[in-house]
Amino acid sequence: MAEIIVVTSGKGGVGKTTSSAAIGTGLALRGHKTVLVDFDVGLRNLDLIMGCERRVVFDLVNVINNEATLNQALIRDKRTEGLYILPASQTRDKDALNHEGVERVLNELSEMFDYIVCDSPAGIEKGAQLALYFADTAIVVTNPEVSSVRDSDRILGVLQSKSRKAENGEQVKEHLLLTRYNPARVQAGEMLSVEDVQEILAIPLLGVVPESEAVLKASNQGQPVVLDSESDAGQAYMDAIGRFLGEEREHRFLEVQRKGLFSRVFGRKG
Amino acid sequence: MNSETRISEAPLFQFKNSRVSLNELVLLDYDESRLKAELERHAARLPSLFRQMPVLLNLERLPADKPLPPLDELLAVCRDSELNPIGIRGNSRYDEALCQSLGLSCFGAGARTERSRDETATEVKPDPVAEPPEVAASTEVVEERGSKTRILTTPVRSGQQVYVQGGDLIVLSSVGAGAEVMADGNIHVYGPLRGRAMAGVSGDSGARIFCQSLEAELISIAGYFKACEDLQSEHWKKPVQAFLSGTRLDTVLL
Repeated sequence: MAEIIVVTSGKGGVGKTTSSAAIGTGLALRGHKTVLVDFDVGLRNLDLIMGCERRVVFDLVNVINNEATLNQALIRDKRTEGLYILPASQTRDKDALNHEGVERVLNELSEMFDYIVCDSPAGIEKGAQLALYFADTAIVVTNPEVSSVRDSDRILGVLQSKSRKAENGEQVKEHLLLTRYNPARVQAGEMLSVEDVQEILAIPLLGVVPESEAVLKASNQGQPVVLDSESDAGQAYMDAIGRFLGEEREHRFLEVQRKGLFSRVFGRKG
Repeated sequence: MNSETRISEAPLFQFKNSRVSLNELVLLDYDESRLKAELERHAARLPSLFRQMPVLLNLERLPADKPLPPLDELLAVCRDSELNPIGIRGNSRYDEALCQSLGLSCFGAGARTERSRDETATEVKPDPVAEPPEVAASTEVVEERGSKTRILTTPVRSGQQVYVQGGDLIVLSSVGAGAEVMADGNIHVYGPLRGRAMAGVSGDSGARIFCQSLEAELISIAGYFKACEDLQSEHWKKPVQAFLSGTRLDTVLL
């Protein structure tokens, strides 16, 4: 039985898809057979971030409608062993998803994989609700600004009331992933600090990913940022995955990085 | 002259906003004899519940292709089973004049019917003008089980509503911005109170609100409220209790 992880946020544009790609790839790099499922039907992005957009033939909606088998729709990642992608449909909308269909697909995936990472669409409507309904674990992606924190709080409420676990009287495991963190701006008082966000959301902190040029570069190259092991964001995601798998890892990238003389003179490649 | 002297006299009534929890009778299909038999079976099992229980009729889920049940017949079936239909929820198909002549109020559509129990607990907000006076007295039957105080150990998140009927609400965690906690009795919040808290919602002016850190969007007791702007005094982010002195809502440090 696989563990179903939903990557969600409520708000759009905070880095759900980037984080899904990074977490899925990271779990596979750590030797766990993982599938990334894109629930953002109609606004398909995960395949772009994963660099497999040209290999999409069938998608999640086809599988739900029994127009294709799961094996036909799953795309094997060429860079990372044990990583598969189930893309969303770009030509349909969220109404194409239904409860029974999603459950059947997840059950089937559950027998093939260790982890199922669901990339949730933004919002709290049907698409987002279906993505989180079956989750065992939620990774709530939040930016250090008030509207994102408010929306995360909202989605945590939805997780507590509208997930399968909640309906069975259990609790979905909740993790906070703070992305686009900029220590310099926190210091200047322009951005909420880790402590501020944690104080409001009151869930365990999985990781803090610094704002980084590497993320945009990786997205545009269709390369999950964890594969760039030199980058701060890539390292932060790998730390978060380590913590997710139960390891003790200190939080890095929370302080302003002082540029040493060496890097000031010679510069450093981001 | 006469009318002017009347104005200066003490008022005879006042309108108050009140919330009561009502049950809905959601009809999935209509067959007079079957409905009658099923209602009677329910009534036999839960006689205390059916003692003139006020209900809203919800006909939104009746199959659209079938003819509507005759309203007077439906009312008779309900009343025979000791149900007291007081209104129709989301009425779009019956003539309003017909409803009025049968003494039924029309309520808004039940767009939130799929919400969780916490959220639906407060879903019914009858229009205070349309609401028959006997409702408030008889709904108590519905909630008469166990202790009336409710204790929440997890944060109340943005967008969630919690309402405790006829008792106190104790929140051991925080109440997030955009969340609403309501109780007929007192409200205690042992984390930061950032959302809205309404105590004494059914009119108990002796109810109080206690919190460890007052950062609320609004607090209200028995309908008298203070919004965030007025709360940002020296008591902001401090442990505070709020109570009514006459018609003034006071906050005092704990």
